[in-house]
Amino acid sequence: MVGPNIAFWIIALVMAYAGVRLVTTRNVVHAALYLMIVLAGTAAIFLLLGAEFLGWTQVLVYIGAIVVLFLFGVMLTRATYGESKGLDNDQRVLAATVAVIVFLVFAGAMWKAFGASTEIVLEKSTTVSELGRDLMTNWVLPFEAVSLVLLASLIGAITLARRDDPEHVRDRGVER
Amino acid sequence: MDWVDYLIRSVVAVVVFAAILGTCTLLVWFERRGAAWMQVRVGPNKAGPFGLLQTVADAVKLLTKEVFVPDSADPLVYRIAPLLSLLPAFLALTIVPFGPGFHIGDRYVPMQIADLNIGILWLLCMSSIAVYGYILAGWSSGSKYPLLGAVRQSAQVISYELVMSLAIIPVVIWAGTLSTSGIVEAQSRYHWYVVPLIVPAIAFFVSGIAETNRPPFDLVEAESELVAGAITEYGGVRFMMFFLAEYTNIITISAITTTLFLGGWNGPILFGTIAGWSVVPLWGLFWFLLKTGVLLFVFIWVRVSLPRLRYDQLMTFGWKIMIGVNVAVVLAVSFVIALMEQGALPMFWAPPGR
Amino acid sequence: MLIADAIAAPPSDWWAIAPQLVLGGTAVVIILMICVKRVDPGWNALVAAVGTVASGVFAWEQWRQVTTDANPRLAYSGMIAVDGFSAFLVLVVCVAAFLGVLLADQYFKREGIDRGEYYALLLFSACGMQFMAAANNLVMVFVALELLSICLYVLSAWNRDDSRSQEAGAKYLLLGAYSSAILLFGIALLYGGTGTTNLARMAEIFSENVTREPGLVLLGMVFVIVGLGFKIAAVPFHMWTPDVYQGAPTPVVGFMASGAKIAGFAGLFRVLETGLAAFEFDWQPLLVGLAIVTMLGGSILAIAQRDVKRMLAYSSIAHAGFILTGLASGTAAGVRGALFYLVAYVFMIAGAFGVVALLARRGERYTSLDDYRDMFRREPVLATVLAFFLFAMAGIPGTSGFVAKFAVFTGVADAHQWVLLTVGTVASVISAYFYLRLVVYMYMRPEVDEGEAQPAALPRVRWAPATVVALVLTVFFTIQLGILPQGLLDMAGKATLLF
Repeated sequence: MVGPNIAFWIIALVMAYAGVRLVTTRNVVHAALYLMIVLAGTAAIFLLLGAEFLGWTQVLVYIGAIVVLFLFGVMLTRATYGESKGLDNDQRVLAATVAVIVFLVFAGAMWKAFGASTEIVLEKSTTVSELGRDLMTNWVLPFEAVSLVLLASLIGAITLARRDDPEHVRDRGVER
Repeated sequence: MDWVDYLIRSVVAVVVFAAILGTCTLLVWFERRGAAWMQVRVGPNKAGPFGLLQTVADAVKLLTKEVFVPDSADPLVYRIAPLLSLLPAFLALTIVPFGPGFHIGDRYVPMQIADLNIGILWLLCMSSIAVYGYILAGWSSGSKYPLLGAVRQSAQVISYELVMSLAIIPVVIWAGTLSTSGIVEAQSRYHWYVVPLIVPAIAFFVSGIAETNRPPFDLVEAESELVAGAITEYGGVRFMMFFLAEYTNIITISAITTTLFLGGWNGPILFGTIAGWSVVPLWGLFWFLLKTGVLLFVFIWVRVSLPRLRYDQLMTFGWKIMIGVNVAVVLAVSFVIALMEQGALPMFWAPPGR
Repeated sequence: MLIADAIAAPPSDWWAIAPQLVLGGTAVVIILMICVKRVDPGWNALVAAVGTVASGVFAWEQWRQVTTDANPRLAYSGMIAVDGFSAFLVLVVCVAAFLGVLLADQYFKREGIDRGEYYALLLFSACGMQFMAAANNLVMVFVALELLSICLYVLSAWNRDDSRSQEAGAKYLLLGAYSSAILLFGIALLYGGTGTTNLARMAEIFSENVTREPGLVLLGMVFVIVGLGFKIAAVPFHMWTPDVYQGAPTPVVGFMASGAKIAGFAGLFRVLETGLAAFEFDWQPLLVGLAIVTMLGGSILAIAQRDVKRMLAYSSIAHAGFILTGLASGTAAGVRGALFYLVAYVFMIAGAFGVVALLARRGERYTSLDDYRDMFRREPVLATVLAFFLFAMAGIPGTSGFVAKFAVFTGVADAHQWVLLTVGTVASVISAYFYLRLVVYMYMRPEVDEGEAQPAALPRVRWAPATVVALVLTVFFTIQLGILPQGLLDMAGKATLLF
């Protein structure tokens, strides 16, 4: 299985580069695009592991919806061109240190656990119908709970964003 | 799969690609000539017979123009955006079965570039990625009209993407597969899905018009408001790529509507199944092209006939009407199918293909 | 092939999720009410209150079933457990939600932000807390956590025209999302180490001793503790608490402080005691350390606060420390004490924030310590009630707070964890200082120092019936649990028996 290994390393390196650029770039839109690359890399790894449905769903949801919403938000609020100030703060060094430590700890644990196996082990990939069946039987409760989460977030977002009906607005004597 | 199979597939891909480019050219010509015909004027008539070569002339003009990047633009993103627009448009077409596969000797020749078993998902992915072209073009141009166009675009596409997905779900439930060729086959024995699923069919086509930013949903590039929307600052070959992408998308939407709802390459029952004609591949291709052609005509017909919506009408229509109706349809269809499988309802229309 | 044949669905165990179903259903009903016609949100509140009570009835029935028939079980492919622990905490969540609903109506009417959706979100949140209390699968833990937190983010920002509330919402959202991510990391690592997210199965795997990767499991455990530590506001993951509690609308804080802590502790306890029981010697020192810094941190930092809401926020941190002490002791008595403490805490904190909400007046203007000077003369009843809750929190005998601390420390003493016991006692003494300081301000400090002009007297605080009911309930139970705690202690004892 040389092919998947090479593909994995290419994807991983691209993702790592994009990830670093994501936090170092000073342009919000570029950051969103780097995020897109990272997410696409994740999808590619899913595909590499034979999780076709998951991989394309990742593309559909994250790249097709979430990053687009990021871009939408950026453009609605502050579509700055070039470098924007104030994207950095002076805790860069601290943050980088923490990131490196977390990475080392993770990498160490992973290496210790799985380091011996260097091959990508492909088990039989799950078909969509199997996935759906599992969701509707064993995982039906979390599945339904997730729909509650979505409903609640919809309601929450709307109530926070919506302007009240005129007769509903009362004067708010808020003083600081 | 040995190298001959790969070769066959490559040939199919090249043929399809060339055919699409040709169709785009024709489509642009018809958009102008046909619109002129409907509006009782002449239209392009100088280049070639009936002005058929007008588009070719335009293409040559655009190809030979200077390639430039505006000063205020973000250079890299400005350059990438047209590619991001064109690529998904072509990729989406790869899953369309243009006709039944056939055998030459013992080699199987599919009339489809890639028969993915998650074809529908692929289609949705590509149409959701296609939005990047416009958004990034609008942002990277560094100018206000493109930016406004891009903002409108992202909101519009995300809204109608939902409608589109919801309109596909009944088909998937009914056919029991995510593969486009499977869906066509499920329709080959019985009625086309447009019969029981007329509401999703219309919803799909309408949201397709919205996704491709065609009139009456072309607020993204509303000339009277935004000059040319996201692509205002583009010229030459990059402009042409956007142009090409738009027309490829129109073809994709028509072809997918045909595939999902109009029976794909199946002829009407009388001509197809009973007479045993559908085994002849070119006969299937003929029906596919005919149906797609009719839908392409509708695209242009709608453009010429209907006035542009207001933005709030667009959003209200999408969120309050289309999504609501389609959610109801999804529920109803699931219910009907469950009852049919339980034997509580007769299997009228068409049994689920599972 | 027919769907019915293809899908062998697990039997629907409606009793197992009845409380959650009722809460979620009530929330949906409220939304539908709003869709049909916007009525006075008081009606929504009424429906919500009825819903919480109904949910409580189901939870009580669950409790009766699992304790008398000795019928604890797993339901829905092991997603949730129906045992004494879950039924007990589900019931407590009902109480917290009920109090949250009762205290909300008057406040939001006063602030002019009474929208019926509040109650729907509160119920959704409570539903998430109940799922958390019952969750027996890490996926369920995460989904429940998201359900309860997302609603709380919105509720914190409910007063959207007030920049303090906006700030609270934004801070809670950002840090909450961050902590969720950490929890998810932990879950992923645990899954990587064991190949399952089912806690009961995980315990089996450990007992069979076939796990290859203790490193991954330990790392995952730490991340899970950190992620849930955010939710229960344990030091050093408490940074968001004061800002959010200060900025968010006070009734929301009352509900958040009680409900989110119940859920966080439920998740923490279930994960550690069921899934990772084999690693007790690894997580116990962690919890001991957390408990120590949380108790001390909360108590000491509270002294520096001049804002009553902030002070109560730190006090809730300190309480989290005491509850953690019970878990950290690792004894049944300690866990029993922690569960008892949770109940007592729900009543105390809801009551205290209820009074603070009333005294803060419109726009939450009067929340600083100086605003409470001479409160006894101005608002004798409310001042007395608040003083009572403060005494209870300080752990004065005769109140539930005393019994709770005593029960927890009994467990610690059983485990011979003298350091923990000493620190706990010291922290209690320290915290008594700032509780009593507020009492001193209310009873003994003149409203203004000599020579300053007397401010115009405010009109007396008006009492809405719902508020009165809530305060009477909280006071009653705080006394009752202080004098006759045995019933609840027995219940808590039974609740420690996990599936």
